[in-house]
Amino acid sequence: MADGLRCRWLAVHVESSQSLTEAAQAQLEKNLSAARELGAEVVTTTDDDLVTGLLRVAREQNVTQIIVGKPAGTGWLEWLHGDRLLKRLARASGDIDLHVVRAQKTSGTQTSRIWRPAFASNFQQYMFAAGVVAATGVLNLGLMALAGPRVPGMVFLLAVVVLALKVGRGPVLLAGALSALIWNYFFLPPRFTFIISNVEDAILFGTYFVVALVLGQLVACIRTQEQAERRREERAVALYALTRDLAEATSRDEVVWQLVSQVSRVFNAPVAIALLMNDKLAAHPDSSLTLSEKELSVADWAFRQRKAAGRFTDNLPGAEALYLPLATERKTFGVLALSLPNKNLTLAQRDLLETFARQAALILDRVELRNATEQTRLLAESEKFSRTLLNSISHELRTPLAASTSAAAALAAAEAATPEQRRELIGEIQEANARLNRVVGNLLDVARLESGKVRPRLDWHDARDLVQTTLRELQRELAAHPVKTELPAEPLLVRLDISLMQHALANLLLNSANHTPAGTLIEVQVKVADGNLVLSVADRGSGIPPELLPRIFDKFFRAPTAPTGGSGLGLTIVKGFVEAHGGIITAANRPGGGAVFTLRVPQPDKPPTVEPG
Amino acid sequence: MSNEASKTTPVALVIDDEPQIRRLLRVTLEANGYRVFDAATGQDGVAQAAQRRPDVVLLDLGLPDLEGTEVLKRLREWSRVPVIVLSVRDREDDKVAALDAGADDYVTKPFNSAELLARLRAAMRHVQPQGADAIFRSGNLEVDLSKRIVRKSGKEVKLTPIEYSLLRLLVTHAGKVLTHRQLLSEVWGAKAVEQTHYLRVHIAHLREKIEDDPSKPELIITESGVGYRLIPKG
Repeated sequence: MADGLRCRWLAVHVESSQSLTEAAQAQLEKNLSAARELGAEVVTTTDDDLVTGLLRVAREQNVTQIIVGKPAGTGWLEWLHGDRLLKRLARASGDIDLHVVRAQKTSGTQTSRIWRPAFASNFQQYMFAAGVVAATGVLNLGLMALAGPRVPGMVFLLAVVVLALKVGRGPVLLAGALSALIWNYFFLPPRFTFIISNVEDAILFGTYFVVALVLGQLVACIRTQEQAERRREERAVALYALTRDLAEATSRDEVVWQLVSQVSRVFNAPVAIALLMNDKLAAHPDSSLTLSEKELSVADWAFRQRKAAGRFTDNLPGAEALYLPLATERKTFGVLALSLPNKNLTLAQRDLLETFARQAALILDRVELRNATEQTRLLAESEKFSRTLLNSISHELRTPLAASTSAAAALAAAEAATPEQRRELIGEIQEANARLNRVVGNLLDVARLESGKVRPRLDWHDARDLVQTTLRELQRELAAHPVKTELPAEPLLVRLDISLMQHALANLLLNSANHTPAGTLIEVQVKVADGNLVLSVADRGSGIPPELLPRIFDKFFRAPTAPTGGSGLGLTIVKGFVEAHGGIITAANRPGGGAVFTLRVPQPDKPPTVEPG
Repeated sequence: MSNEASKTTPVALVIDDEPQIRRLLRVTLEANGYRVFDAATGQDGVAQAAQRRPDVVLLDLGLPDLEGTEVLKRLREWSRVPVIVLSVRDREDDKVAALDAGADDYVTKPFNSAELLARLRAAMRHVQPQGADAIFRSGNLEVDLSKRIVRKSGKEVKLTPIEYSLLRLLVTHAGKVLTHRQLLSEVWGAKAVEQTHYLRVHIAHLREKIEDDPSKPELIITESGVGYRLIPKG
């Protein structure tokens, strides 16, 4: 019918506080499984009243049609009960269509629900109830001497109520009946008979009996409902925990780990997740349950058929564990296996487990989709990056090569050239080669940084010497720029990798020289402040456009106004080398114009003292 | 300072597997008065060194058959010939390893031929016997090694014993790099070879006393991560 109407359909199970017999429970689970297989959503709700529960679900789920089975039993009680249910349902359902279909008479013995004694409590509880009644009886013998035969009735009632807080419904009913009989036999005159002589006592006795029974029943009802409430709350909490933890998972392994740990905890049983690895289903290493070849084949069946299999199911029920597919509409990801060797699985638990599996499958789906998107993005990015890289490298390498090659060719051909022209050509070659050497050096530095192999070799150095040596080595490159240094008067011992830091400083100086007109003053300052070596290189050029500030340390980033000759790698290398020291580099514009680069390298160790001599 | 002490033509042996580098070095060295032999492998290099008895060896570290340091080790078993390592490896560890293994100097490729020739002369000068009245002069600095007197612009400079020891070492190896280890073990003893901070402070003080402008040292040069070199002014 749902197919015909093209809508989803629900199978509703209203869990009452009355416990079911095992046969009924099994029948119920079978019915619900069948409904599930036919495509129904199974909804379980807890309510002592079938009609209220059913209609509540119907309203929550926006149900438009309700189908109920017509009772097929022949007993008058069943007929009465079922008929009343139908009538009430019809009255209360309002705008929901109600369909009544003929139900099949279930085969096998069916005990009438109303008269079935509930032997759910165990033997010990009955013994305990009887014991309490007996003890109260003994106490009452003493009381009767003081207060007459009617007071013991009240004390018995008290005992029954207290009992109801402790034991199940059966023992409470037993205690009620037993205490009524004992009261009658031992206390109400004529004593030691079940005869009640006066009307007053008879009414009292009758009332007591009914009150004891109703009270016991009521208290037990409240307790069962409370238990059901607790069960539902546990389920909700477990589901919430799983959903929350799963939502944070960003990889397949994390999802599996969360699922295994949550399900293991909730069901207190070993769990395995079998996933497809190299086209073969295999248990994930995080599983707490190992799967034999035979068990794996059951998992495989569940995986391929996208149906539950193994224990508690109709498919391959001989297996040791229960297997639920982790599937979304798009794809089956794997199988969840739960091994409950000596335990039963209640309907609620089964339902919870299936919800877990469904949730996990959804998250796995999401993770997979996200990874795919991420991969596409990375691929596009890396393609774009290698294009930039190739463009930049070929430009950087070919320009000096071209200069050098053509100058050499001119030298070779121009026999008539003046000595001055020759010197000029040779100068061109030398400059081109120096530039080529710098570019190769930068590329090698970037490759070192990229490989993650930059490990600073720390040693004590005089920070002043760092500046002086770097300036000396850059004499030629800085020839057009006056450099002012601000250095301490005494040796300033700092711990760093001299080669990396000299490189960093050299790149900063070259950067300033390249981006400022000839004659622009470059200022270098070095000091130790707040446990950091602070080294700054400042110029009075045009500064850095504020919108470019966040990007100037990016690889291959070159300011649009930058003069030719830079590779867009210098500052990236500075940043990499400084960060390898655990330091930071900042760039800013100076008040009054120009840029300032400041690097800070932490100096956690106190410099050693050196004896004079 | 030219190589006038030796009247005969100096002999150089080039051990490098790159034909272009061998050709280039041959042209450069022959143009500057050297006789040049070359070898493309480490094995051949060691054999030629024994046969030709060169005055100086130029050794590449990345040889096809033997590691350069291995060639150096084999040479040092029987010869004190000055060896200059010529390599593309520019990491301080490589330089220090080669120098501590017995190389006299280290030049990275690409190199400047003028600088290379200066290093060759410095390396060769060192093995020549010192005059009895050895007085070292560089610019306005004068170091009288026999009388242990240092003068700057004719005025005597007071050096501490450690500063003098450092200066003496640098002067007697003028033009040549001395590693931290070499300086530390000579001046403070073998136990102090890791204490580079001693050098930082004492070299700084020495520069204060003998450099024309201590903020721009031009006499005692820092070879970063390797050691120090004294470059005499002409």
